[in-house]
Amino acid sequence: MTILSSVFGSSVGKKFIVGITGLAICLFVLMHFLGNLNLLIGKEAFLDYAKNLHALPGFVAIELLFASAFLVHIAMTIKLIFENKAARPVDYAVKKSAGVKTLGSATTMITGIYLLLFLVFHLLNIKFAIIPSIDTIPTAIAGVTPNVYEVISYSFKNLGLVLFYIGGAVCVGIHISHGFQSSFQSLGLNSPKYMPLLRTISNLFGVLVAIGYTVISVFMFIVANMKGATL
Amino acid sequence: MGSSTINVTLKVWRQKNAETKGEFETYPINNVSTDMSFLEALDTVNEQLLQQGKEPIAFDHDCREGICGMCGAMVDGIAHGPDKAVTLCQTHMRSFHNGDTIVVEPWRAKAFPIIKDLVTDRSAFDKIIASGGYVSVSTGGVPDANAILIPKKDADLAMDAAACIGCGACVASCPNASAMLFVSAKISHLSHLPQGQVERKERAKRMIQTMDDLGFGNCSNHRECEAVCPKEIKLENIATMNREFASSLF
Repeated sequence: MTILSSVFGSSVGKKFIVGITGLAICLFVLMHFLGNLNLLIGKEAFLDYAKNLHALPGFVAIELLFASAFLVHIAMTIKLIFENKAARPVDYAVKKSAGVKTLGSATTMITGIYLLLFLVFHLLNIKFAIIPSIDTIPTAIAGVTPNVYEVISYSFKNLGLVLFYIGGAVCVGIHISHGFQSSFQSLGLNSPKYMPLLRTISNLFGVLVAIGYTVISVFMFIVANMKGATL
Repeated sequence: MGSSTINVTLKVWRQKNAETKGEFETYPINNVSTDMSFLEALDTVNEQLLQQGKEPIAFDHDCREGICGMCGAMVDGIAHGPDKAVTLCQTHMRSFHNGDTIVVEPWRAKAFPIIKDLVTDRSAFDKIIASGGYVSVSTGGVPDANAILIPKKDADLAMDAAACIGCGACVASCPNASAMLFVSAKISHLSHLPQGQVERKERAKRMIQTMDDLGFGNCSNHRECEAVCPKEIKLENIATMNREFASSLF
């Protein structure tokens, strides 16, 4: 049996895969957040950042690597959900937590499903500018291809969309609060000495991205709806 | 602590055998001494049932001292009941209040099929042990103290892991019915000792493979297992098992 089939065929190996891809996604979420802070500075700063980011050597390769991490993480966790359900075909009439349940651990599946839907929408919305159609953006009507800032501004005029984004921000924060520290445990990097610290860092990380992305979403909603806002 | 009596109602899962469908039956019991263990309260119900000519509740038990690992049931949704670090036989009625309705269910997991009422077949654990939870080197008779030098830290870690009594509460309480705390305790116990080095890699591989084959779920680090374990087996053992698995790959 090759190493790869040993890993993919074992419950512990599957933990490794979810853990490694989870940490990669955490890194992506953090970088994506730090980059998006440029939106708070303004249009020019954000467009400069976007331009410089895409000009990085090996950008496409890195993008593909992160995309693979997302795909593997999603596929593996869906597989695990079904396996875990099969491991307890009859549920308890009464089941309580013995006091260690956290918001993050209790809602991993729910926040995960929301984030999957969010991810698909977010890509169609900003990355590929399909929803809403790029052609409806004022600059496009005027015959100029809209830049990414204009796509964001146009989308964030819509309160429903902003609320959906805030939902995504909250879910990613809650998901990370369990997932980040859980990845270390899965990879065997657990020590009684550092685990409490790691749990605190995990919670702070979750709170940071939840509040941070919410602030960016609300800010963009206000900017996009300001009278005379330039798109 | 003064002794007193309480009246409680037990709602117990009754199931004739693995093939039949079970259901809850309700048994009010009055004047239960708060000094009684939970199993003694079940004994009281069974005496009443026998007097009425009815089938008593089947439940596993042996030492009733909290050391054998035979007893166990979900009591109001928590494995072994509300008290920390005790088995069901060491859960006492003083942990409940007058007028409480207490729901009692068997461990529920595909790998632990119900035999009758609260009794489940936990031979899956035996199969996991048989697949690697042993040492095949001849260790001879009891060696003189310190004849085999083991660092204190390793001896303590091995001893803590060896405290597992295989009751199955970890599987029962895990949202995914995972057996990783049990398996990791056994792997960790032997991997910390010199006698366990010979089969170290094969042991981790085989025991994890057997666990998976038997239909246990996957760990998602909810830590419910650690919280209900009567022997306080630590989650760090699962991290140790994960490292053992990683090193067994190469």
